[in-house]
Amino acid sequence: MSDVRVLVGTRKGAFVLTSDGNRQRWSVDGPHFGGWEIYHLKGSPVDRDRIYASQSSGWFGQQIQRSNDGGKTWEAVGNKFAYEGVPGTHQWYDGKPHPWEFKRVWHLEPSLDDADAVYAGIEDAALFRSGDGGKSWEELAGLRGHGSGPRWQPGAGGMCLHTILLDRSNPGRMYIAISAAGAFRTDDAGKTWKPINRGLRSDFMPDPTAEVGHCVHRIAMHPSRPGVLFMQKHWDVMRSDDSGDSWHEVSGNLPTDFGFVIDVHAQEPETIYVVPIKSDSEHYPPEGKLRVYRSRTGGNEWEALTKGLPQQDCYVNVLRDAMAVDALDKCGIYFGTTGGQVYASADAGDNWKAIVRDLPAVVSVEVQTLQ
Amino acid sequence: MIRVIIPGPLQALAGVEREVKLDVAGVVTQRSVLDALEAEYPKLRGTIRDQVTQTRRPLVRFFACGEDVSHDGMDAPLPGEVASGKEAFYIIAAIAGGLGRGPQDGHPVALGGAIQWEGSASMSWVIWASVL
Repeated sequence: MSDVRVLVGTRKGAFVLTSDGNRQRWSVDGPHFGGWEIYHLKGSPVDRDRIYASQSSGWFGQQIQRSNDGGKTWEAVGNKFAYEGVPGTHQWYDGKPHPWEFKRVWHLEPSLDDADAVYAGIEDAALFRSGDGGKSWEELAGLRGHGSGPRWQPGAGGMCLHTILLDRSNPGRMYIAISAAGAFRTDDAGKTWKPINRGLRSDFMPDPTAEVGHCVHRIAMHPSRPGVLFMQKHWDVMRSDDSGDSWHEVSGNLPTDFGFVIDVHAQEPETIYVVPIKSDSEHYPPEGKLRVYRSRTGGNEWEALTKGLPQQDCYVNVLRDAMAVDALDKCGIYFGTTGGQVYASADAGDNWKAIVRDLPAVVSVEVQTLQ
Repeated sequence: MIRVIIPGPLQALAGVEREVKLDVAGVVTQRSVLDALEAEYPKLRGTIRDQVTQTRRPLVRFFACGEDVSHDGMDAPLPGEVASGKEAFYIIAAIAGGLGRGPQDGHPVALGGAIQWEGSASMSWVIWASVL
């Protein structure tokens, strides 16, 4: 039977949770890098024991850590993220030009076919790639060079590139998302990029349907249907059936369509999950009830999943990188909260149980299914 | 031999003790000390000064002989007592307070006020309020 390894990034360190395929009894290992913010960890699909981690600190900047033994030991690798050429400016909160400045790595996306290749989404928004296991990093500068860069602006969390989706069926194709610029697609392995925000509407913008400026929180894709994308925008849950060329809203009967996470069932590409959050100023579940919502119809029709989740006095948030699914049958769903809980469901969301309850605020959750 | 005091989180990162000793060629300045430090311990690259701009990180400060020399410039000679090894060169991390951002949700997080003190060989001390 397959084992499962859950990689948890928190505000004060990383934790590695492991279980057999029953997913009922867990061991908790950590903290790794205690005291440091771990925005994200992710394992290589090629080598299950190769894991990359983003370690950062307001004092001491950015580190990239690499493990070759499944998270037992770690090695600091390259942390030089230099924008290509003269970085130029983007918009600041007040609308004035502001120079591009590296702040941190939000997301690491290992290559689908090379354990030494990994992408990094950074703040201020740009995409970098390493081909040597994280020792050195090179910007894929065509993204910032798209021409709309001077109009990008930070969301309240900073101007971050937080989502990177790789398409196994089309190696040249990649999707990324930036808060608050929107979603972009490349079809030539990152040389050129196209904004894919048609159909998004953001009423905080002077032009609510502008080409860029949308606060996309997360995009998810099922590998078997790479042209179908699901998006949790600042407000609105959206869907695209044409690789992002156009989007339509599928918020349907959700109690609120604000939120951060969105993910897709491992075996059912039309089954998707979100965690509704009350509003952009009230970052907690509506009515103090922590509910995952599942749609088996690719959106619009949603059911609340509550068994095992707190249904009163719960005021945690679930951040954008803090949900993941395993590849087992039945599909396991995992998410972490700012209250330090990591919840798991071993039956596609019908029943939930906390693996661990008192970690530092959880920033990211990833899952490895170990065959 | 230059003596350098390393802040706690960087001791763990680089696998070093609180005090490290370095050979520094030529004039002893912030830059030459940091160059020698990073050459000896490459994992410290980017932690004390920015990898690209080579400027000191905002929440890191330098002290020598009980004085804050953070703003003296990277190429200003450090005091003779530091150059001779009688006094240590202190790299200090703020007990930072003020306003930080919560990761990934963009909500401001109040971290509280801040006081930092650090004894030196001459028992001087520093109070430092900082904004993250």
